[in-house]
Amino acid sequence: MNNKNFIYNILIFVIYLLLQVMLFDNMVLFGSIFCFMYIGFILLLPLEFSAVILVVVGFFSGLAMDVFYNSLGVNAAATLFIAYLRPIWLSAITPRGGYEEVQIPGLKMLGFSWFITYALPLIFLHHISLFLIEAGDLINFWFILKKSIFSSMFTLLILVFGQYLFYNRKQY
Amino acid sequence: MRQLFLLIYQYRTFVTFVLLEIACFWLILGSSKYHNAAFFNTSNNIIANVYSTKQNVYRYFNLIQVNDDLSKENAFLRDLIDRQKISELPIDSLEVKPLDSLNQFEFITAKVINNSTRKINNYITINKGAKEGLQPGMGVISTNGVVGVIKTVSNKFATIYSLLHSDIYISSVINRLNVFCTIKWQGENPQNASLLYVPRHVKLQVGDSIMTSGFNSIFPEGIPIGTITEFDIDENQSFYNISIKLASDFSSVSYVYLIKNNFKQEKDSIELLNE
Repeated sequence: MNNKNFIYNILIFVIYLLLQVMLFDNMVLFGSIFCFMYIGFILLLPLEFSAVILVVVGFFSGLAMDVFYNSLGVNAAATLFIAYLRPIWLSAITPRGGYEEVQIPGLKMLGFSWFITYALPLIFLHHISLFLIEAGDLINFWFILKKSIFSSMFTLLILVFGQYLFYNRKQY
Repeated sequence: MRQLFLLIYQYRTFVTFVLLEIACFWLILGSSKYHNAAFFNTSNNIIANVYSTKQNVYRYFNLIQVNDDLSKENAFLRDLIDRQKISELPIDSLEVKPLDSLNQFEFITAKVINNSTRKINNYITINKGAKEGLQPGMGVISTNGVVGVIKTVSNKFATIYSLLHSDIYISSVINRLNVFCTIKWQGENPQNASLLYVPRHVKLQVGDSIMTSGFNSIFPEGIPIGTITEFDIDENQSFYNISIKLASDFSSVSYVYLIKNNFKQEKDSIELLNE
């Protein structure tokens, strides 16, 4: 991971952050379906990132989001949880040809159905841990569960759209 | 040692993950009042249950002392009842109704299940809670004197700010002279406290007893707090430096009374009009 790559990744993160804060924060369907597409940043980080770096990056990106949501530590906890799980999950669903020549585990490189298999569980785990930590209590558990299911579908939709829109010229 | 480092290196991802998650929860608990309260409420419940069990064992060993205290308490209460009975004797076949003020304060007994006296801020835990009608802000006394003020209440337990707490002030009066002053614990000796705001024209004596003034709606008047042991004043000060010996022995307090003031809401709301 050289310096140019590093700055490039920071730029991408800033873009995700701005999009999330300016646009997707206010897109709450029916008052309870949220969209946390900033985790797309974690999900689409290059495969060469080591697991430890991934966890630390997850922590700091979640913390940056927390600052905007004024909920110090909640997003950080959820994001670093899926950053920890990402390498484990990736090795569990390795596609038939392995991950050679693939830099980013993205939709264009590895296929639509593979991407759904990869992203949906991680997104769901992120959302449910976020809502559970925020609630602090198991009282409204079914409501929280419903919220996380629908929100993760919404987030996945946004991420898929985003990938179709943007990742056509970049590295393969 | 090297093996330990190798082991940590082998699981470095998991270790980093756990450390960062702990940092996250520390941030959450530090910044969100709701999470802070929910966490401490749950932990308080669990911890209070553990203390309850521990006290069940310990109090068996304390039985002699407790019996003595209880019999003294019994004597005091019998005395009180006798005095009340006398005031209810019919005079000229007209019944004398008890004064309204006798209905003002109710006393609820509780057992101490956790106590500390050596810290800067000391708290006491008791085995009664919201179920028995306790609320934060109620006063707490023991057989000998003032103990503290209730801090938080859960369903079955409550925590009390002990008088040995740096933020607790008790409004009090020097009994002999009817001079109003304030009690504050200085943080060193669990048997002594300071008396503040006694102006220099007052003629003090060692041994003067200090009681509650009844001015705030927490304590009734006349509950002993302590006795003066020494006092002095510098030339340029306007208030005395007074040291008092506390009447209540905080290291051995085991049964306390909680004071429920039935008139508290009315008194507080009328006093609010002053502001």
